[in-house]
Amino acid sequence: MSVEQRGQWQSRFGFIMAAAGSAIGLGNIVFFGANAYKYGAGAFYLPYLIALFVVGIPVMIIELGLGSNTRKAFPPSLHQLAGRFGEFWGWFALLSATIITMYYITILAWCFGMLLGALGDLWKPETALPAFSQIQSLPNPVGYFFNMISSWWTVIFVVCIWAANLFVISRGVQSIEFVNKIFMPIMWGFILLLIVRGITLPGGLDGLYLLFTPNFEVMSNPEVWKGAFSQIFFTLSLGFGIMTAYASYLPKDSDQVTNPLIISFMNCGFEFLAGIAIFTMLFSFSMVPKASTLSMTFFIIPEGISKMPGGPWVVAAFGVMFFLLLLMAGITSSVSLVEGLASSIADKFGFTRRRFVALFGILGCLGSVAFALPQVVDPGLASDGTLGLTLLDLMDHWAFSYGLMIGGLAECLIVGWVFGADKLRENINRYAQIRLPAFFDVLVKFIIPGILIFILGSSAWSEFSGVYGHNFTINGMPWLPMACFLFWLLGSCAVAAFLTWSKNYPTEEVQA
Amino acid sequence: MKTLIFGAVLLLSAIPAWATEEAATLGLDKTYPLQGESVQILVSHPSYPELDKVRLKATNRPSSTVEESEDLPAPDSDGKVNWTPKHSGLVVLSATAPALGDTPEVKLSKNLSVRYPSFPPLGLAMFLLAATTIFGGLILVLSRLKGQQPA
Repeated sequence: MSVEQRGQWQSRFGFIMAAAGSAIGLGNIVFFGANAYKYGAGAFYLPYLIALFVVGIPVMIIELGLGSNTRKAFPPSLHQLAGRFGEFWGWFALLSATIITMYYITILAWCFGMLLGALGDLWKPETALPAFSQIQSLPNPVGYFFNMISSWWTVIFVVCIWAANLFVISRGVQSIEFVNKIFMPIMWGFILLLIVRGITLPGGLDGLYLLFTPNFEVMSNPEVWKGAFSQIFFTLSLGFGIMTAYASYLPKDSDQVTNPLIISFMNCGFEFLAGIAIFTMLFSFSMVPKASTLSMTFFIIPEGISKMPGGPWVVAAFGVMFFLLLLMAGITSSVSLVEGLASSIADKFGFTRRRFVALFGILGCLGSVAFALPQVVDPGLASDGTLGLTLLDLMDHWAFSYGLMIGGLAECLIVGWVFGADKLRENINRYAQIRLPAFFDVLVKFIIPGILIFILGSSAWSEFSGVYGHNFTINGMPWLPMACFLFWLLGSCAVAAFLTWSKNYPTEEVQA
Repeated sequence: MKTLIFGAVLLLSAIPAWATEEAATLGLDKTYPLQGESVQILVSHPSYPELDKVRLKATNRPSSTVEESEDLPAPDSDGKVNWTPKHSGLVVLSATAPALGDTPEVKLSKNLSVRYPSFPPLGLAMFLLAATTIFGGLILVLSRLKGQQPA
């Protein structure tokens, strides 16, 4: 496919905005601070910064280097390095990313619903829950959230968010660039406003002390290191194939050392600031953070906002700003998730963007609707409540915690051992202002795979006590946790194999 | 971006305890207690006959790897007890009044923010380290781009 057909970023600034916009999402805003708190607050920054330099930036360099060197999306670029074996793992990771795209858009649809609620009903003391037979009402924002997700309205919101995504995607990378150039500065502005408000709240400054004061006892706890490495891997959107897809729209001679450095620092800088904004508010209102994006997004932070001094208008204004911030951060990320798949399908099957949008728009939207299904399967709210949220919880566990890390591991092993880390380093250094040292090869071949295997292994070890979700209350569907696991594992393998072997790429020389 | 991992337990642990006895209360004489400074806890219940049987517990840094619980002295018959927080940060104060006669067991909890007695220099050091690494790194890389061609 020619450059004209694939498209190309109009400027380096546009590319960096788009890539940083992809990396900065809901997790940066609400999860980082909660994770830091969980793992010993200030002391968490040390393993976090080490993880940034040992895993985050090197894997980002690999992903961007692959894209700009091959000028192809993730699976075809791995195909170019390691044939069908490499391509299979590319598709496998991308299919996990596709599942994540579907429920991520459902979460954005819920954010949209909460945004509408922030204009009024969300701040009422409680909400009746007619769909939950064992609970009459719950205090807001919890009550509002469960009432919302147990109604069909969220399906309409899902369609709206999908329409926004497909509109941007269908118009090519230039429109992705345009959206990010507008949304990113607004997001930084919102975060700075939230920081100012947080620090000026009573006790807000002590929240800052709490976030940064270290407790060095935690440094000997392997869980803390695992948490830091996982945080870096996920926050930079590694293993999704997005960065490879985005870099494939760059010229071959682009600098793939400074670009990943800028994107990584921007992403971590944003979550550093978001941590301050959230923590000052949580401390001021004595709210205990939970290391859970959904709890933080829909319950804890809105509850904190509801306690803001200044009256109902101030509460509504900050509520709207918070959910608008999430929506903007989420859309720049979800667009990139869809683009990762769009570019891969286009490279392999020669689909035009419009054809992809028509086909994947319907399938993707149906997938997101599944995660928004409002049927109550847990009327006492002992677990997740609705069928959609239960599915989301189960699939998130497999696709997110395992799928992406497996993709990242495969990518490192293929680059390090099959293609040769030194060859990729030489290619990257040819156009780089800051040259990669030979130690980069050691990181790619030994250290990063070792860390990822440790994280995957220790997570898998904990599964032996029972498949994830076996203790959930899911009325009428006790088989659902196992079905979700099998769907993810066997479904991803089968579809990845089909996509890998169903069609040949045009013969091309490996551009090594 | 996408750190979602949430799980049912985490999700539900964020739901306030809506089933607690509404008439009973657990309070403090200060909104923001200070580490190392005595504060008075007050437990009240309209019908519980022996408030000195109430068990009090403070959980420092709840839901974190450094969570630490501390049993507090029982309140007097008026439900009052003095407590000096040993640690700053978030604390969950919980009170359990065991079942007594016709009165069922009552559990109450209250979140507290215990303020720092003074400015923590280690916190500043960590803030500066993280900020310098991240934003300093960003500025350093951007400064090297000056005059470079696009992409």
